[in-house]
Amino acid sequence: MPQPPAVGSDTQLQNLIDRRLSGDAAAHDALLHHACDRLLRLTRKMFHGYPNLRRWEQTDDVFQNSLLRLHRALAEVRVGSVRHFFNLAAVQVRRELLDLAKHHFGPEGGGANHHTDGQPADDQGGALHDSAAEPDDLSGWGEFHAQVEKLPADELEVVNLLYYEGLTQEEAAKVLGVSFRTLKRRWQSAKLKLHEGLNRDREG
Amino acid sequence: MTGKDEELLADLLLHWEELRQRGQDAPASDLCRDHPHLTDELTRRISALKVTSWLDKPLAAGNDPTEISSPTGEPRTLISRYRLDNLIAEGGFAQVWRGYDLELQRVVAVKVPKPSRLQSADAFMAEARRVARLKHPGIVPVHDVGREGDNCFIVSEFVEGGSLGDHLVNNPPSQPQAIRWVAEVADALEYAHLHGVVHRDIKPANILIDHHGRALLADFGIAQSANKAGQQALSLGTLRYMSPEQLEGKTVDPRADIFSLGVVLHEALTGKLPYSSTEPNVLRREIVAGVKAVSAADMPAELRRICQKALQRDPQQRHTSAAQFAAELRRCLGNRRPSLWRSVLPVVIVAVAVGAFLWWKYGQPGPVGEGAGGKPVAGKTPADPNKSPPTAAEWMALGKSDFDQNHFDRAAESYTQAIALGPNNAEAFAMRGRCKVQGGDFKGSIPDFSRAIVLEPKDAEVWRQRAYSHGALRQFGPAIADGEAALKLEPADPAPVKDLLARLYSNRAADRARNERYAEAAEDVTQAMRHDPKAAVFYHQRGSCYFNMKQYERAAADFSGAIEREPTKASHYTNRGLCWQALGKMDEAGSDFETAKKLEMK
Repeated sequence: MPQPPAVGSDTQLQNLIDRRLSGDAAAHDALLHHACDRLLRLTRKMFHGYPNLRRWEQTDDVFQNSLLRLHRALAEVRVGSVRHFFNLAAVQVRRELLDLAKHHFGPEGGGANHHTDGQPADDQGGALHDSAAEPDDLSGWGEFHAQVEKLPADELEVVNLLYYEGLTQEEAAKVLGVSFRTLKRRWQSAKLKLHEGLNRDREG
Repeated sequence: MTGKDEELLADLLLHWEELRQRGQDAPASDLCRDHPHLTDELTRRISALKVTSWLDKPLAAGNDPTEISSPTGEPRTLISRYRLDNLIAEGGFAQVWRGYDLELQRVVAVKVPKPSRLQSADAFMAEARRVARLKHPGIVPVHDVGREGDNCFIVSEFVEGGSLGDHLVNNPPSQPQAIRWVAEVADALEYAHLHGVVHRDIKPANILIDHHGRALLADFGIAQSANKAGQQALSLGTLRYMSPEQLEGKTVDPRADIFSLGVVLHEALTGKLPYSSTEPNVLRREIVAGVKAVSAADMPAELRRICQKALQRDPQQRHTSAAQFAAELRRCLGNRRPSLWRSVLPVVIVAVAVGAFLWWKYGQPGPVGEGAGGKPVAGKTPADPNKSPPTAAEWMALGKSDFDQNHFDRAAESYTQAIALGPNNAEAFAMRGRCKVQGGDFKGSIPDFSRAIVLEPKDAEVWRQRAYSHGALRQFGPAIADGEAALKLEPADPAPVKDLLARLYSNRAADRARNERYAEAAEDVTQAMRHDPKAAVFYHQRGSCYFNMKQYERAAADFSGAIEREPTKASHYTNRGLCWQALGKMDEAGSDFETAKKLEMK
């Protein structure tokens, strides 16, 4: 099946959104495709240590759920700007990931009894994790995504654009209409708050 | 913490990050020299940013070959021929892998553009094939282009060494060296332009410096395909070197490359860009407005003029060709007599020494231009037919002289001549192998070492050399076998062999641990410790393996061993603390975490 064109820049996205607003179905598909591509990447990362679940999720549940949710959101909410689209898409993607983490890590979940230390923390042979290091299990990912939701609005928006939507820092600064320096400061501040939050919650 | 302190910390963190992106990990104490009361807090925040740096890494696409391992844990292989061993660079447009050509058995570089960044894979392939036809000593040769599924890829020579970008950060070139490199790049560009190819992405990262100090241009055509795809989201690294017409979306011709090379020249000579800002929006405006004047005080006037000419906003005002740019640079180089003299002095000394040797052997050397004065040049016979040709011993002496002067190619040719005269010359084979190693040709060195071993099996040093070559190729099994064989021969100084063996076992352990083969990894580290029992790093490494095997007691014992040998390293305590935690010994864990924290603060 032919894929909709890839979305490569915010200018293209704005163009797609304009076309979508005027009822262009192809633009609608391209926007969905962009969001699903990000979801695919993030899911792969989250399910890295769970090959069986990963295979299953990629072929069935994730895409269908994501498509349905995003389709509903785009149909019901008036998406008027690139910024609005990215925020909306990021929220949907994050919720989907959170649900997946909870679902599979719950007592009956396929990942609950699957332990993995798959990712060595250093390249010499050992996996010894800091609380805010890249999660290596679904529980960790669930905590991470939940922690992101607690960030202040302007920092959450930066995490949405850079992490969930995969924009470069330059692109994100442009979408938000702030200087590159401001963007970098917000990103650093968000990472520091995530670090603090994840450690605090883990200790608590 | 006052609001002013928070502002200061945020600025210091940005500064730290900028330095880190340039490869410098500045300690908080240095950054806080003027604000010592912030040192502890900055240390804590830097540590937190390091831990969360995984958030900055790009995510692998669903259909990109970005995962180093297949589901079976083996490295991915493209079209059953090119094995992707290590990801060595990744940009917005493509990934570059250090790969291995299984058919021709050689190390290669494999560039894999991200499918989402390609508008048309067919157009990209057509462009790549056109570029593959470029053959010039200053252009990294493209061996192959291909396609597997949605992925296109380009296979080119793997150039050992680093990029000009690396040099500018770590080891800035002298002015004459910078001029020579830029002139060499201009030569390569001239050739490409004559063949109708515009590079469009000239920047220090795309200029590779090989082991012989030659500049080679990489990534031809890649940028063109990217631009055809209408990608506006260029990285900052690329933006800095773009010409005004590229930014304005106008038609681009070879003079855009000359402009970009002018920016590179400016940076190589002065260490900075010809612009005042690195903030993208301001930088864009500055580039489009045009460089006002090159005002580097320490740049000679003639060089300033050349640089200024290349950086003209109007393409018509720039050099008319890359060849003209190169010629002007070289003229400039020629005028720099004192520096030039300094740079050629070692060559003159070698020439005099060789001349003296030949005079001693053959009488007075012939005139210049006549077979290089009778010097035995590899592949040629000496000029004077009345003199007897050089003996194997003389070729060996010449080879050694060149080897000692770091002229490894010439030395290898001399050893080849010696081998031609005496095919059982074990030393000649061994030395030619060493020349190849110095040139980065590990694969090519192995047959030479093997031949030397057949001829002289009790030379432990040659076994060690072959072990080293195998190790460099990550062929740890044969490397370890050779190393152990060298040790059995009881060399006068076993330390270098033991040192190599320890590293080989440790590296194989790291590979195995990456593939989650922790038990085998731990066994390898045990062997490494047998050869180097004092290194704390091996205790740490084996402890990590045991931790992954959930053998927490053994892991804790190893981290204790690491602490005993290296009591001031925080991570040993942190890791032992995690073991105690897993064992439910919370008091011990708390104590170790506390110690680690104190050490980190220091």
